Amino acid sequence: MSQRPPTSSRPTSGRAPGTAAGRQPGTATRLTTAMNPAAARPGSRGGQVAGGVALNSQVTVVDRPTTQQGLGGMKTAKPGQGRRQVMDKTYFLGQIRSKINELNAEVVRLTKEIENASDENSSFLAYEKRAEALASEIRDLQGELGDYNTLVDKLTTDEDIQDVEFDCNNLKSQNDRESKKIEEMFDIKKQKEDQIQLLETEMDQERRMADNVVNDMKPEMRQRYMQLKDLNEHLLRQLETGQQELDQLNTKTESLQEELSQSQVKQEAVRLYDQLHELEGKRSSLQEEARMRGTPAEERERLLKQVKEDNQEIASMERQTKEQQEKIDQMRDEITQLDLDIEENQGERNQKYKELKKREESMDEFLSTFDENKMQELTKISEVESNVVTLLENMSRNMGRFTNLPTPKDLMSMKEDLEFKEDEMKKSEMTTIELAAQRDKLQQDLAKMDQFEEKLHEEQVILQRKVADMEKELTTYGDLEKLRADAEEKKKKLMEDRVILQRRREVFKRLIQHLTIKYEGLKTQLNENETYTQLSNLEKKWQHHEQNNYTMKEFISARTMECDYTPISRRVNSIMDHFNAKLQTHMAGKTSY
Amino acid sequence: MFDVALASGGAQIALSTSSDDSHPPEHMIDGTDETFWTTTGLYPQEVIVRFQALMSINSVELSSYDVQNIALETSESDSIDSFEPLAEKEVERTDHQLQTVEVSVGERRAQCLRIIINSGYDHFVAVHRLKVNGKALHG
Repeated sequence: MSQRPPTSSRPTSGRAPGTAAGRQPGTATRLTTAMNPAAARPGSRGGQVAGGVALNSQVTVVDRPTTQQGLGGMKTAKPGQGRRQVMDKTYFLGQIRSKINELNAEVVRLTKEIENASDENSSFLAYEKRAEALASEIRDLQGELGDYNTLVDKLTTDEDIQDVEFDCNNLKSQNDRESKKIEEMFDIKKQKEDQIQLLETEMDQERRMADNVVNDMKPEMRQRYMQLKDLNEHLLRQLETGQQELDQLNTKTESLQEELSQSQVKQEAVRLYDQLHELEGKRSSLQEEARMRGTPAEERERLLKQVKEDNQEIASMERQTKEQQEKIDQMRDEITQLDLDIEENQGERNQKYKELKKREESMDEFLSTFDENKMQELTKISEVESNVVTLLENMSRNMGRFTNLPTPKDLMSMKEDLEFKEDEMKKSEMTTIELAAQRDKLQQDLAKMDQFEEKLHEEQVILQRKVADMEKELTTYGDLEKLRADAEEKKKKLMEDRVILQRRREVFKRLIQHLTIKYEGLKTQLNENETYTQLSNLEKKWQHHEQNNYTMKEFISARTMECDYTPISRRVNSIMDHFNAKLQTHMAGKTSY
Repeated sequence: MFDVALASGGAQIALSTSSDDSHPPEHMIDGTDETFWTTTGLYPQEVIVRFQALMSINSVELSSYDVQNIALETSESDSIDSFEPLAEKEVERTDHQLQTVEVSVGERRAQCLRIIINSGYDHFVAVHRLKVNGKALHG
């Protein structure tokens, strides 16, 4: 109570300074009542706040017209309006009770849930076990099914039992081999285990020996040994923890790097960090420099010294450059002088030389192309000569003709002659064409005749052969007696054969009867067999289905044939093309007119 | 003791399931290895030899090509209904060489001998000679 003085003063602080306390006697009394629960339970703050809310709400209603203060402070209290205004101990007790009841109910609910969960857990275990058992059963059955499937396969593919047995034997031998291998491996494992045990016992012995050695040591040595041992263990442990830490850090870096590579923002951040590092390094170097810098005076001295040195250096450099420049100038002068001399000496000669050189070049060119040119000229000359000769010949001929030129009358007659001759020539050409056609025809005829001739030759050969055969036959048929004897012999033999075969026929008949009886018996047996009747029924059905299938196929093909429009479309297209071409030619003819 | 299955001795071919013009079944009983009877179709093939009279036979010899399984039956009567099995023999493959099948049967009375070729090593088999050692029974 003493710790919380502001609670009592709070109402006053909340109240406006202008409003007198005497004006609200009711609120003051209520405040005290409200304070009571607070006094009873110092720890509970809510109650007091609630009380304050109630107070404030009261105040706002009454004081509104006169108060000058802002509405904000009062408005905050508004949400409390409309609740129970008097909140005394009983109210809170009731609240608490209801809450406790709710809590109890919740607890009960939760316990029930837990029970349910545990039940479910136990049943889940049971179900899991059952599921496992069923899964194993399913696996077994699947194996069996696979066996049956393979069996059915074998049956359908008509494999012999021998093949199956062969496969079975193969598998058996493989199994045997594998089991043998497993046994060998088991033996090896046993050997290894024995070895391990042997080694362990050896190790024990060694340890014991080491212990003995330690025991035999002097006390100091022993202590030292123990210390070192402890240290070793400690270090080992440290190493292990360090290794673990290292692994963790490695994984962490890996994960972080992965994260980093995935997000661009982070890469940017890394880049910025790098920049930052760089800049920091720069800054530190600058700071170092700054630190190195001494007092201003020293600095100035140092700088002055440096300046002086620099100046000296610059001066020496300038001097050097000046010297070099002078040297260059000198050289240039020399060169110009030399150039002048040369020009003076060689001006005229040079010109002459150049001219001579040009001339030489032209001469060389001429010489090199002289042969070619000569040849060309010679050929030209010969051509011209021949030309001249032909022209002269022509001229002389024409001169000769000129002397006996025909009169105009003669010319007319000659022209007529020419026309007549041209007509004749045309006719002759026609005849030649006709004759060529005739010649082709005749050539074809000739080819046909050749073929005919070949055929005739073949026929002749055949006929000759026939003649030879006939001649031979003639000789045979000439000897009638022999033929008769042969015929008799043949007849005799055939008769004998007939007798034998008749006898045999009898036997055959009997055999066949025998066999038919057997066959009938088997047939009846077969007909009595149920599977046979079933099979025959199924076969009939199959036949029926096949027939149906065939008719359906026919139907489908017929339909597809009917629906096949490509030939029609092709025809239409061709007609269209034809028509278009005709139109085009027609139009072209029109425009040309 | 002599060959009773000889055409010259009165034996006849009563039945044969194959008959080729150039290689008739009579070639089996003509007493020479030069000629032969050949089958012309699927197996089984059979031929029945009828002796001249009731014989007591001791052994049957057969020279052939590519015969695999052969069965012999005998009958004491003339009819073909009462045949009794005599022997059955699997012949070894001779890689297209002349086989000699020999079946000794002790002593058996028979008038007809039926030879059934159940299977062969090739599509066709040829029998060159049939020789039945026995003697005629009198009385």
